Amino acid sequence: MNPMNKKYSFYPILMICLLAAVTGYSQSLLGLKYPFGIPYQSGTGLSLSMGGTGIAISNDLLGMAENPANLGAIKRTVFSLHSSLDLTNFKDGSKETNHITFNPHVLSFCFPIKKFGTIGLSVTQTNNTDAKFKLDSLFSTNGLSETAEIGLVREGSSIVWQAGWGYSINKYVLIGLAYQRMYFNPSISKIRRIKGDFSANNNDSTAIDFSTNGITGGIQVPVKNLTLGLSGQYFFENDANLYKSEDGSTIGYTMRPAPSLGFGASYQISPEWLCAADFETVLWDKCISIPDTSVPKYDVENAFGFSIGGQYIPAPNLLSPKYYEILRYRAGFRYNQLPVSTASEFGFSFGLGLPLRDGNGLFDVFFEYGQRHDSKFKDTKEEFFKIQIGINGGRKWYQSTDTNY
Amino acid sequence: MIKKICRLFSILLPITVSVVCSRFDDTTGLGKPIINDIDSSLTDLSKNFMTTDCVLIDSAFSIPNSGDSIIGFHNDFLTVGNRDSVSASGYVEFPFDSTIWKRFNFPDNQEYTFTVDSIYFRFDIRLKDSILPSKINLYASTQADKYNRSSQAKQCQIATITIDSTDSNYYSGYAISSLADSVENFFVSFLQGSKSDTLSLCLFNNDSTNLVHLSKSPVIRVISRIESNTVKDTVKVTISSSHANYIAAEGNPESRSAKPISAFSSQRIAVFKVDLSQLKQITSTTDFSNVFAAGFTISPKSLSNMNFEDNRDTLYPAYLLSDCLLSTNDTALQDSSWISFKNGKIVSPITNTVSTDTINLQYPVSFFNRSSVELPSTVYLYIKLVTGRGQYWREVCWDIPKFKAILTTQE
Repeated sequence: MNPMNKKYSFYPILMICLLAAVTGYSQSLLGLKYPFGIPYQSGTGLSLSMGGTGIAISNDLLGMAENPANLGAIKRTVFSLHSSLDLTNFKDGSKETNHITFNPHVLSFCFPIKKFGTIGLSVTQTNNTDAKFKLDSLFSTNGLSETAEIGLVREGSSIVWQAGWGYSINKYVLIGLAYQRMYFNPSISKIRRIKGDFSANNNDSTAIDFSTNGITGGIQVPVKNLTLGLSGQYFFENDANLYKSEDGSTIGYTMRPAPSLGFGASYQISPEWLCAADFETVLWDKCISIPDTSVPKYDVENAFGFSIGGQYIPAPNLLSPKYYEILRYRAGFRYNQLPVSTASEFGFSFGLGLPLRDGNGLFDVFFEYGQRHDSKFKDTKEEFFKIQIGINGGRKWYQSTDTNY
Repeated sequence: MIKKICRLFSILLPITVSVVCSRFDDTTGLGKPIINDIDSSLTDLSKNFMTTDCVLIDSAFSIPNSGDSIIGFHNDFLTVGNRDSVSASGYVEFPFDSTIWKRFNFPDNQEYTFTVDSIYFRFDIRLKDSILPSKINLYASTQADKYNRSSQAKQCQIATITIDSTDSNYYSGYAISSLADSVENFFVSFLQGSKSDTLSLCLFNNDSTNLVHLSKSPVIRVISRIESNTVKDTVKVTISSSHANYIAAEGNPESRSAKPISAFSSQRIAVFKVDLSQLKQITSTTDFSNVFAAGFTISPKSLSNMNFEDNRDTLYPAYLLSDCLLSTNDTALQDSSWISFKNGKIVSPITNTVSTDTINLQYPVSFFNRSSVELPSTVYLYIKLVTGRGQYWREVCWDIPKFKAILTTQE
């Protein structure tokens, strides 16, 4: 990597590291109603800044985040790192609270193995269960002055490790398959506390320990400027353990995360313009959590969502363009139902892809504004604003010998 | 240009975010309908906590510290005198071992005479009262009097020390001549057998109703002469004490036992008989069956021998709850079951016989959260003033404590 690229890469990485040191607590109370909390959009900066589209987009920097078949289009070694600073405003009637946190989302590496395709490795945060609710009140009785608090704290997220392979079949079809290992370890604590003349603290917590295997696969079919894509994900049923701190007991039960299926299309209108749309469904009625009276029970339903987005590059093929002429200008919109039929969220995204010199990488910075709402709780609303940054880089280590003379 | 923008952006953004982060909330108290949908008890404090003060105090009195005699023992403190019908006697030890004898520099390989001309005592005053005893009597003693002054403790007086005329910060005086003779004789036996020994002294003030707190490290100075064919020396050796203590004995324990008194000197313990029957009834008949926090709030009714500098002083009470009335010989009264205030409790002078200072005696809830069969209906609250905290002669007569408890539901 030449010194210029090193410097350009250094500052984004430095910024990500410094932001990671930011402490805060983002949360969603609505996520308390869902078994895995709030789902995150999968993808790297390219797809997320286009509203979350990407099932039918073939691009190095997407990795296998949206569709493992994209690995078949990757001919160089690439990596992607993406994180976001999430600001959430929770409104309840006329009152509101604001929360902030830093969330790493995805780290991905892809390695072409010459004529045998491309291998991809990634780790992704797919859901977040964080929520902190606290109620307190001052009371005094017979000379005793106390503040009593009750609270509910839920923490944890689901992390998916993937190892995949993609292949291009004579450039007509791209196929991909990936093995997934999912870890889900949330904890829920009910807190009672008093502070004052007397003090006491009681924390009854339950922690879930769950991991399972899954597979994801996909296919992309490029037809001239149109590409169609299909992607699906399935997790296997596995045992889960619930630990209760109050009596030290462990309850075993069975879980299976919900499978999902998505369909997408992208169209390269011109070298400057790209647009895409995705439609996906999460089959929550296939999610298993065999209940015990001690195990949290969630009423969930299938959730559907769609997203559309576009990218504009002013002068992609100019020999000596100005820098702004090769920036990627992106925007998108998405709408997703949440795991209960009365709840949904939408988001508008817009941002930039900043090429690193010599075309070896791209620095993504973009923003997403959205809202989350459940019609069952009319007076409550969650607004979120995400500042998302990603760093992508790649290099071709060998020259393909596909061409026959 | 891009490089500058990246550099500036990458540094400014995290700094800005970290500054504004402090304006964000860590938790939220909003969204009650959502929380209520999950667990309705989480949105209503009254479903989680209940306060009560149902416990009654049946009686209040005090008991002596320990053992058969009504005394308090204090290690590393030296107090002598009398006050409020409590008398204190001190005990010190001075080592006379080989290390001390070497300091006399006896000549080697020649004959010499060793004569002790005098032995001088100096006891620095640690804390001055307004009126001090005019004199303190020193008695030769043995280690049998170390922890309890026997009837032999006053048999052999060897010195009387008085406040120094030029410097009123210490007592001093010379031993009677027979002690000097004894030391000489002791020297001979030491040379013969390399014997090491300890000079034990008891201190009494027999004459007045005044009290003095002395430093725990008094000194004696042996002024001696060593003469031989080649040497004629006056040798002065100063020896610091290796141990000091005092005991305080009550002269009228019966009258004090009727009141809930905690006294530092005699280690008297205040006792309150507590009726828990109503608490037991509440926890067994309502949903609030779990004691979340409980204890007593108590105020001093009268304070004695405090040191109200800046209109405040510090007490160091320790307290204990017991299922039964303990005798003064019970180990429970001596062991580590007591709960102490590490930093003490600050109190102010009591005006118009009313104290506004309330001391909170919170007790571990495991004591109360026993089964109805295990938890007795009557328990006893003990309060004492902790030793080793420079409490000198402080004494508290307590007002009747009030019981407070916060109950919760079982999960």
